[in-house]
Amino acid sequence: MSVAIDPRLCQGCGGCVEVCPGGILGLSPDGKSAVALYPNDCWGCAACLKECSRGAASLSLSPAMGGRGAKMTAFWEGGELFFKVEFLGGDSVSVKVDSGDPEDY
Amino acid sequence: MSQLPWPARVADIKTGVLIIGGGTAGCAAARRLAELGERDILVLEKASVKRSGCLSAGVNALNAWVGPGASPRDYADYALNDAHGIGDARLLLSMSEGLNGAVEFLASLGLKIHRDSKGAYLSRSWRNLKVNGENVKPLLAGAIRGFPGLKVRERVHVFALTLSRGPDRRIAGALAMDLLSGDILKIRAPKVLLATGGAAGIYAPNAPGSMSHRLWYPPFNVGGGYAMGIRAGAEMTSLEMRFVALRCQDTQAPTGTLALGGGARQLNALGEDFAEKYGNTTSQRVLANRRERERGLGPIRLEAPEAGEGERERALRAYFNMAPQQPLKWLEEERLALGRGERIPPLGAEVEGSEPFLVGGHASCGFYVDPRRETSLPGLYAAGDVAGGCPQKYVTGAISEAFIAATAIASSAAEGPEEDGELAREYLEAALSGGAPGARPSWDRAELEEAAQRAMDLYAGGRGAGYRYSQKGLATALSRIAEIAGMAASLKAVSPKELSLAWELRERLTVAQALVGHLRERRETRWPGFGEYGDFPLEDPGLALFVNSRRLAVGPEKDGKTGEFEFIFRDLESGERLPAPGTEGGAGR
Ligand SMILES: Cc1cc2nc3c(=O)[nH]c(=O)nc-3n(C[C@H](O)[C@H](O)[C@H](O)COP(=O)(O)OP(=O)(O)OC[C@H]3O[C@@H](n4cnc5c(N)ncnc54)[C@H](O)[C@@H]3O)c2cc1C
Ligand code: SF4
Ligand code: SF4
Repeated sequence: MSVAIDPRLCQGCGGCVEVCPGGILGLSPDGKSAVALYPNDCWGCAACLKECSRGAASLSLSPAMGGRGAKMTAFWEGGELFFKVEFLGGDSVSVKVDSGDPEDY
Repeated sequence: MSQLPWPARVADIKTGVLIIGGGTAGCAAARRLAELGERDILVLEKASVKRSGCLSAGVNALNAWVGPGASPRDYADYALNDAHGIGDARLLLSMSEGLNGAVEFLASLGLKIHRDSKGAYLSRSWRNLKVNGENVKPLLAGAIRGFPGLKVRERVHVFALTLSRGPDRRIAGALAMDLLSGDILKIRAPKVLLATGGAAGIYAPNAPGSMSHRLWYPPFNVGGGYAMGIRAGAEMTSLEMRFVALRCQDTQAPTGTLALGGGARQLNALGEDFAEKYGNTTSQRVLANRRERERGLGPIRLEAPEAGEGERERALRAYFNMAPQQPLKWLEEERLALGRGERIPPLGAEVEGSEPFLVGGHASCGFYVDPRRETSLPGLYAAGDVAGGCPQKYVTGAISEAFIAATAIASSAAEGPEEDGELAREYLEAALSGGAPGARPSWDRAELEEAAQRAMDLYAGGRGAGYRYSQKGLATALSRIAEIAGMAASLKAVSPKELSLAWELRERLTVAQALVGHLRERRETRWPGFGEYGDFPLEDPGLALFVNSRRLAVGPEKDGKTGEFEFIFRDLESGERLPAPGTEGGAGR
């Protein structure tokens, strides 16, 4: 699997559809949810994740890439971007992308 | 548009300046033109400017910068040397002179550049700055959205350049399709900037199946700008200088962050650091990796063995700013090790060469442009990865070139020529033939893409052929690609998106035909890391010149076939035309 939309979490706001650089995503005919129209053509850039405030858009690595079932989503808190990686066992880690240290990442 | 299976209207649009591609260079040029007082600028972008092109995932460094104590000439010299001499010194110098201005431009938009406690930039080297650049593309998009004088139209695939009547043809505008409505846009513009980026997907990708789009270069930059220029008879340069990138295996994430930022080194299976043996240009580093693996000493790892816990966290964040699949992979590896009660593997990644790309921001390939970044078609300008002769541009160099082009555009005449209506009609008809009713062929777009990538891989020096090629193989590649192009001409599309995908395939096939000709004509092996010509395995000092090309016919391909090219050899410095190497008075062995 590469990019996936969880229909239980998705509200159909269309944010992810809008930003995808490759037109990979679209809205379902009833407009209630985003769908991956061309999942195998996904680049893995995570632009859609950053747009989704519901954690409905996720990326995972295929087994050929060394994927072992972990699912990556993104969220914003206080204007800061975090990536969250949820492992198969249900535990997860979140990483703040900007450490806030002007001298470092 | 009765040919199309959807109700499409035709819109006639007039604009003062048309910018094709709202990526790094396109956004920067648009903003600068507006600041220079241009009031009628239209940007057309295939995706959405917020996250399109190379910068979709972000950047974590500005790879081109002139640090304290260094001069623009130092940077230009470094880039020319790295390209083994094939570049235009004038283009390199003017690009380098604008690098620090481009850094300031990005800083003014709000890009977070790392600074020490005194406010001075923190660098990775004399030409490389560390940044928190996950948001660089939204910042660039914000610089043009709603700016006075500027219109942005998104989800528009530009598919042809229109010209004035011959013989002294100049640009007259472009043709495009709105990907949502399927409407056709006929744009008239006296001045056009092409900023469509480079080309991925010409060659078979590193890995097939689920990984076939997990490339380093965006799979959505298919070389459409090169293809439109080739079809319009523009002069192209150095397409034979393909770029093969040293990248993290599986994710194809760039390696510079580990090498420059983390002090990591390439180690073979015996743990030996072999870099010294091969030299330090980009091509030599790629070759080193390959040669060691050919000796049976793979896998090759880029490793920072001393890296502590803090270093690991830092690397995770640095990669989340630019290539988020790599930290996902690291976190999965870490979790596996912890689950097994094993030690966390040292910070690093297996590295390998990518498939070849055409990227004018790294290599010298692209439109042949003058110092004002005007192409051989008057009124048509090029900047960024689509422009040739000026390697090692990266983000800041693309912006620097965009500013140069913008200044030239702003100071040139605004009167548009009479469009060659017949030519525009031919382009339109050829493009829309994919929507016409008729029997569906037994092949589909994806199959033809696979066939084309396989032919290039096997016969034109792809990864599967060890990046090696011969005259005989190139002839095979050319006839296969022409055949596939003929098959692609009969593809049928049921929606605007499908038609756009079919056009992308055709764009790649056009570029492939020109590229193969260039590989054939440079009869030497100048960048062995990027490709080795079996018939001419050594560098030929006499071939320190530009290999340029121009398609003889102007207009759409007939049955997909691109047809004959004229090859033009030019002096690197003066641009003067030289006799063909190997002929009387010509250079070469
Ligand atoms: C993964 C990756 C990481 C990188 N990291 C760094 C880094 O950390 N530091 C650094 O300095 N450089 C980095 N670079 C290099 C740098 O990003 C590029 O050299 C630079 O952004 C190129 O700018 P461009 O405007 O030429 O192309 P892009 O920014 O790719 O713009 C091209 C645009 O044209 C649009 N387009 C294409 N065809 C059409 C068409 N037919 N009609 C309409 N629109 C079209 C595309 O959608 C795209 O938006 C990286 C590159 C990549 C791929
Ligand atoms: S951004 Fe999230 S909520 Fe909105 S459409 Fe996409 S997946 Fe659904
Ligand atoms: S990861 Fe990038 S390419 Fe893939 S669906 Fe999301 S936005 Fe599109």
